[in-house]
Amino acid sequence: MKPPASRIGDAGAFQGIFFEEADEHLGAVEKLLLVLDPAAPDAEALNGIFRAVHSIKGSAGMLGFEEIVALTHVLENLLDVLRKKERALTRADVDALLRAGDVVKLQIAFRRGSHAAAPDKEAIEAEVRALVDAGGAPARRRFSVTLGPLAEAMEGATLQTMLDGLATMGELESPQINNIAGGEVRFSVSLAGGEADLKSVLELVVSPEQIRIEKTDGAPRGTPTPSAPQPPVEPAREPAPLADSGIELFTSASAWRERRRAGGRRESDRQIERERAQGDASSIRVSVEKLDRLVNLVGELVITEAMLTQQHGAFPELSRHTRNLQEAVMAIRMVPISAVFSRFPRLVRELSQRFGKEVEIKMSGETTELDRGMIEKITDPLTHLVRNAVDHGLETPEARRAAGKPACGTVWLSASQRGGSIVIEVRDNGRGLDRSRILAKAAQRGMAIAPDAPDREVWQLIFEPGFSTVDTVTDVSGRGVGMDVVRRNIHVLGGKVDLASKAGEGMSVTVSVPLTLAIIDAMTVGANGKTYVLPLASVVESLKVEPAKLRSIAGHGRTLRVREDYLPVHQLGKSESIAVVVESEGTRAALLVDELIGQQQVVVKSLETNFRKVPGISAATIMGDGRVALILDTAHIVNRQGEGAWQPS
Amino acid sequence: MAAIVKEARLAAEAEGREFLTFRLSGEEYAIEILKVQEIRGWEHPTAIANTPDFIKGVINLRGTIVPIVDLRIKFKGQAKYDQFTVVIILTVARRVMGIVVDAVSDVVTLSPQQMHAAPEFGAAADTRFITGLGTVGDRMLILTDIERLMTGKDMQLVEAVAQAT
Repeated sequence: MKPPASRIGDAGAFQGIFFEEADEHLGAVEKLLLVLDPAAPDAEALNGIFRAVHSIKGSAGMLGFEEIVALTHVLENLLDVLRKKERALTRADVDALLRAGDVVKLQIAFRRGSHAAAPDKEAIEAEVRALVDAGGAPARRRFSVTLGPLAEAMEGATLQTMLDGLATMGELESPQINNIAGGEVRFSVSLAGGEADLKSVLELVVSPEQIRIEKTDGAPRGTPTPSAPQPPVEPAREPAPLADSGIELFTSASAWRERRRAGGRRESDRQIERERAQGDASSIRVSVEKLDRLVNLVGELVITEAMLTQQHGAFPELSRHTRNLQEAVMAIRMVPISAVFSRFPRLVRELSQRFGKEVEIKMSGETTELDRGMIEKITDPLTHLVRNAVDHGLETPEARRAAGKPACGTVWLSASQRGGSIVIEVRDNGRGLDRSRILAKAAQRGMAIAPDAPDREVWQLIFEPGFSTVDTVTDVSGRGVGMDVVRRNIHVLGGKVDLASKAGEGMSVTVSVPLTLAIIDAMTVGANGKTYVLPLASVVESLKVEPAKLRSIAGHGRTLRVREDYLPVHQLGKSESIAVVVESEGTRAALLVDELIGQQQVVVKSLETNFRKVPGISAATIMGDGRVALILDTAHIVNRQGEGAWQPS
Repeated sequence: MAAIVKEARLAAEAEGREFLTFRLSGEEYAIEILKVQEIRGWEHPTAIANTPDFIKGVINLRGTIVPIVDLRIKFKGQAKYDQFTVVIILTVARRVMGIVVDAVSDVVTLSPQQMHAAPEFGAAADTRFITGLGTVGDRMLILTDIERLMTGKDMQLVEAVAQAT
């Protein structure tokens, strides 16, 4: 299914702008909704939400996205009722608005082509409509409307159509029509819809700044009348003050374009930008593609510099500038971790409702930055951990009270940078892991563990694949659903997961991942005349092999004795004299190589961009001589033990 | 019926399309010039384990890792490399990849009249990548859908690409 074409021809660029802006607006809406306190709603927050929704509606209308207009329109009605305090804000309103926001998100995704089908908006639209009519809002509201001063006389037919249209919406009273240039049209109308409804009809015939609407009865106003003219913010650019700070619809495509070209920004945009500008300086939006290209180019430069050094000796200045440039470019790719964290308040809110728990989420270190690519990859594991904490870690309010704890549980999320890695902690003050249940479960599954094993070893059990599923451990002792997946995902990123838990007091999961995926510290080794790259994080040691310690075991390849351990051996080259011990997920293996070349930083290049995944190889890099070297996937090599030696070539 | 449809489709496409022709196993193949990024001399690629022998490995093409497929090995099972060996760098399915052939011939422009539907070969040979035959004088060119050939399952170059039917 393909979305219908938009109304204006050269809409491509505008659509791009619209999609990005709409995403931002929706993000802002969600953020404001989540902090909105139903008991004492912040008028400014409600206004902010209204403005954002209105902006989306306006632009969507411009681009002919009717279904988005329809939904945002009813949202606007509800928000209008709420921000004018015609009815008290309830939790149901917030819930409905959040869900409606999700539907708008899907609608936009569909228009963008990233979502296969248009979402069903009928249910949520009806729900919001019901909320608009709910509560003490008067069934009909009366507005007195003044249109003018008119720039020129309206066409009689147009005027009549408008008045007829209003008559069908409600009761039209005492129209005073002075339809000449400079004249005014006045009438009163009472209708069921909100001010936004009325306005959208009027805007079909006259420009927004000529409309003045006053409510003549109904609930008392808590906010200043929206018809009070706002002082013009940029008088030079916008000679006509807007009739309503939040209302501005572009009456035609050309007007919109003109406004854009003139550099004038819509009031709502300005508002949001002003909020955004607080704290950070001016910024520009750059596409990720351009950024990746820049990173690639700098990677090239690093390689060229290495080549030059190899052939002509070192150029200290060049090396320094190259390194500085590389660091500066990598810094551009850094994104604050709030990009991930910001989704959790919503998640926690929904989970707590679903499980009937009271949960508060506290976050710190949201400004900690890490590489864009990394952000994408840690989102799922972190989501999993937060879900686990709410689902299995925290108890129900009754159970908490019985245990002498506050009814409301807390989940802490914190991030900090330690050297070249980022440490993220997900902590809760729930019941903690149940040691005896885990041991019982392990015994049931025939896993060997001493009953008096230290806690640390016991906790490791929940990382075993399939160890904990919903119907086994989670019901009683808590967490573990898919912990093996979390650990595997983090390991793929070159990071690690640690657990701490205290019965009755909660548990904490600490995830540490490297700052970036684009450049890794590596050990280069030679085997069979080829160069291989081992991530330094997985290298334990390298040693000279004493032939006596290299033994073959029938059917199981060979092992190398390193102090107390017998490690499986994988021979990469011809020589049997040098071994590199690598470790992955606590398992070790020895790789026999021909030579150790050195340690260096390498730029990671995906093999999958133009090729595909190859077992045993995690990526490639380009060496100083311009040749490609393969980065070995130590996790794969280590885990393949017993199936015969893994052969790189 | 299928042949008629194929011919109609060929005829409907733009007149006078340009093709790069190359020789492989004594036959002349033609691929759309727009799929060709550049032609390079042979440079020894970095071999990758656990891949079929016609995948020679990967090279560094100005910072991009590009796989090299030797179609000579794929089609006749053997190949030697010398200073005359050439690699055609292709851009297909938004990927960059290189193919090694016996020799690159020339660029020809084929009018719709010079393009003919391929005969049915039966089920014995996988000829789905052959879109037709081209005639230039007394040369017969095998018009090849290189994208389909390179992304095909038995090339093992691409994972899980939906095969057009």
